[in-house]
Amino acid sequence: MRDADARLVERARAGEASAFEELVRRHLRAAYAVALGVVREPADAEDVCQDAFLTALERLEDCRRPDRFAAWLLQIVRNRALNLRRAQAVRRALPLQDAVGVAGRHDTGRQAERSELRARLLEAMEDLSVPQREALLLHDLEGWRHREVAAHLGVPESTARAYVFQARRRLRARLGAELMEEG
Amino acid sequence: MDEHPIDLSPLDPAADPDRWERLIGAITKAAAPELARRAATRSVIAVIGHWLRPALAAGIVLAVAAAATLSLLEREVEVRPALTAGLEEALELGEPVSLWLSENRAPTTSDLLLALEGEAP
Repeated sequence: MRDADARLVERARAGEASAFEELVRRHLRAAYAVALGVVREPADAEDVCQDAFLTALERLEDCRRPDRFAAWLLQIVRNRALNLRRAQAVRRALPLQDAVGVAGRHDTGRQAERSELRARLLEAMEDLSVPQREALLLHDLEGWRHREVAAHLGVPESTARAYVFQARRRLRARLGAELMEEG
Repeated sequence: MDEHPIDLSPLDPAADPDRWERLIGAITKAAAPELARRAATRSVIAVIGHWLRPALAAGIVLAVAAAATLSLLEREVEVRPALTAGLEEALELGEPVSLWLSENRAPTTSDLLLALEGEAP
């Protein structure tokens, strides 16, 4: 994976579009999880991802360890997401419920149900700290191991494990039993 | 510890494949100008790189030839005074004529008078 990333980074540096697209496909999910953990709004998380990938491309020469491209990229994602959140705090953006309500008008059936679940999850996640949300999303949504989450957050593995544990407990307390599934 | 994962699939961005592909497409489309710039830069570097080796080789050959020529010229300049000194002896020129030659200067009027006086019986 890392060697492949290093080769893709090298090719993307040379302007090869297919290599860059492959990097996007490999790391967009994790980038999205990190962004969502910070900004809490799917559309904003998508914007952050787009912005972060473009920034990463422009600064590709700064990536001194191409084999660790993912870690480097996710730092950019987190910084961009934090910047957006600060800007939103200043602008006082629309409440989540209103935004979801507007987006949900075109949904039907299962889509509407999914939108409702997504809105509830996102709302419940507002109680979590940013590291807790990132840890939970990377672990339970992206399937990262505690060790990988810890490396990304720059904390000991035990701390990453605690973040996931606390996040789950809070979410369960907030949402009740209907969203839970045993993995 | 709470070891049971929470089902976060409603948050899965790829659950709507069309939307997901649109996002990937938007990112790659927005990246196209930068990728094109990089490709163009790389091709210029490749062209320069292609010419660089022969140009460097030719430069080195020229530098060696120039150094050799300079070295030969310097040696010639060093040799010339010795030849002049030998000439004076060969022509059996006495002072002050040999002095003018060694100093590489034209004789003044007084030099000429002195020389004529010296030769007078």
